Amino acid sequence: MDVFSNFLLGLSVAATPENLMFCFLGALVGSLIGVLPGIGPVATLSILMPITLSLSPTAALIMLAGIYYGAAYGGSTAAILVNMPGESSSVVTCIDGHQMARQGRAGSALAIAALGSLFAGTVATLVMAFAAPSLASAALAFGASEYAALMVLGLIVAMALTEGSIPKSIAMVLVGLMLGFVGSDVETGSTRMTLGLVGLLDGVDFVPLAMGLFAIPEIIAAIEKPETHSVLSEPIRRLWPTKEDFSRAWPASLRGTALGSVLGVLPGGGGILASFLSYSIEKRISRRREEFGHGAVEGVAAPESANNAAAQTSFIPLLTLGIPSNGVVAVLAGAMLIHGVNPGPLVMTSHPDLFWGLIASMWFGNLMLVVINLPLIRLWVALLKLPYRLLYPSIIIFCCIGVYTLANSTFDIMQLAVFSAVGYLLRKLKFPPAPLLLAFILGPMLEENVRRALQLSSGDFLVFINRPISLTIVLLCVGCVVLLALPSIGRRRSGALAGD
Amino acid sequence: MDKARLDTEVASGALIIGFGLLAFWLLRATPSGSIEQMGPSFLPRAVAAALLVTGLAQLAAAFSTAPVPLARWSIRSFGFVAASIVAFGLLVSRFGLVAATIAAVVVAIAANPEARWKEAVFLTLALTAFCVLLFVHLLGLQIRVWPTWG
Repeated sequence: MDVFSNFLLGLSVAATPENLMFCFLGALVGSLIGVLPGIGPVATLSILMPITLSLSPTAALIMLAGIYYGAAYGGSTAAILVNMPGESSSVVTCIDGHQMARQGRAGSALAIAALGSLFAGTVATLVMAFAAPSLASAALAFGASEYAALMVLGLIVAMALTEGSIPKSIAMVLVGLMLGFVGSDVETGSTRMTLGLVGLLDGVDFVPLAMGLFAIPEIIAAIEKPETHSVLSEPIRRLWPTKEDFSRAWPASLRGTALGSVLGVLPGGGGILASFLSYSIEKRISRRREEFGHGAVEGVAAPESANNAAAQTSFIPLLTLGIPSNGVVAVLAGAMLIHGVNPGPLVMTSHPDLFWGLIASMWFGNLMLVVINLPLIRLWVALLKLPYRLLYPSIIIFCCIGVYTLANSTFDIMQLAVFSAVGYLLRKLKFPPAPLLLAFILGPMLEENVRRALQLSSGDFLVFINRPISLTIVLLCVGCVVLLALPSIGRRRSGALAGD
Repeated sequence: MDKARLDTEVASGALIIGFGLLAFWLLRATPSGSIEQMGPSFLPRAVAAALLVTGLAQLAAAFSTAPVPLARWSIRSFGFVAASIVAFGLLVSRFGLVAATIAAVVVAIAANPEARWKEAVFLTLALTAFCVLLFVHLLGLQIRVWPTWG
């Protein structure tokens, strides 16, 4: 079958020494920064993105994907060892994982998390290899109106799944769109909202925006909080889980993987929704319900598997439709654009080595995480004991140097300062920053497609409902808005978009 | 006497409206065109209008619910972190990486009220050396390291 020859191509790309090295480096550095409490995957990715810009697009994406899994896994490590979720999707892992650590089973919890993630990653890689090509070929039939409708759907779902009030999420999407409009207008060539600054002619830069919205406010928030987390003092005795742990963990891991693979593909989906849902399912069907919250191994295996599966399948909408479905994937979309690769159904045909190499490297990345993290647990514990006041100046200086090296431009650093101020203000007023980043990426594409659709139809808005696919997507949009407007559902939303 | 605290939700609504007005003002001289032939400011103006509507909705919701007191701000932490970034930006192209890193790290350390002197000196020196080694020697980035004289 074709999938296999393609997958072999991917393996041959991903297994070159160079790409293996970048995958390894990404997973290692991602774990390192992901372990630090309070620094989530989006912040980690934005801090490390400048390093990857000098690489080839394939190597850069492989490394960024490695950083992403590394950061996600590092987040779980922090959750288990210090009860501080490094990212919001490992909040659930804290519940039982930290209890296991308290009982001296930290090694077992970490191993279950790592092996569950590896299993989920393997399955999700296969799901991607089979599902992505058919989805991409369906997307080739899409015209401007379908794309415009699809992007609006993505934004609506992103708003619906974000934590916080609905008007604030809507406002963040609108501000993101507006920031995406800044610069030269592609069709007429005239400039808009540039404040007369030459540096803004090409638009707002993605890296300072992402860092300013995520990394810097997270650092300031961590400085503001006095350090209260206590690192596990007991030594980690055994690493390998017991037979009982294994036999209880694997069915949970299987269910988590299935759930996560499906939820990850949905727009706005991703790790958080999957991990929360799989935890509550495990708790409901378990015969040992009373153990949940006191170190049940299923409570670690299921959400970790679900989280990792979803993290991986959430690449599918990006690589087949060109639509990032959450904050993390938006950063990867930004990286692709900077490298001159337009995310969308054409990636598979125009850059088959990148597409299949990335998919194959996901599996290598997951394998490396197990290899890296289990021996390094003691190092992570030592790192977690370092006081934050020694760590944060390093992170700030890495951000500054990273942004500066993008174009050796002082203007980029000033953008970082401005967006940090905006990001801090938004955080204090409890605005969710992830929808802004998503809309910023989608803004220019959305505008292009809306304009083209209306040009072709001479200004007739019926173009969006005349075609069956477009009509279906518009109906889905309307359905989402109606569901959102129903207060009972609106109140039950529990933050599913990967914010931080 | 209770001091009137600013309500988070009201402030958020005002901020959203502020964003919308700012956008309208920035777009004041940009042509908008027509629906079939959109100009550069057609969609941006539509988004700005949507911001105003959203802001008003946020305000309306804020006034109909109990006020949420504003989160605690730490002007010190934020100010020093921002100043650290600005200092790096102002110094790096003219005076090189070493000067910019030292300045930025010192200012960043000051963001923490619990900063300790000896630690600060050590951290500054160690970080500067590490950055030069990593970014200039290992990664080979084209950054000026030292100030040029004359």
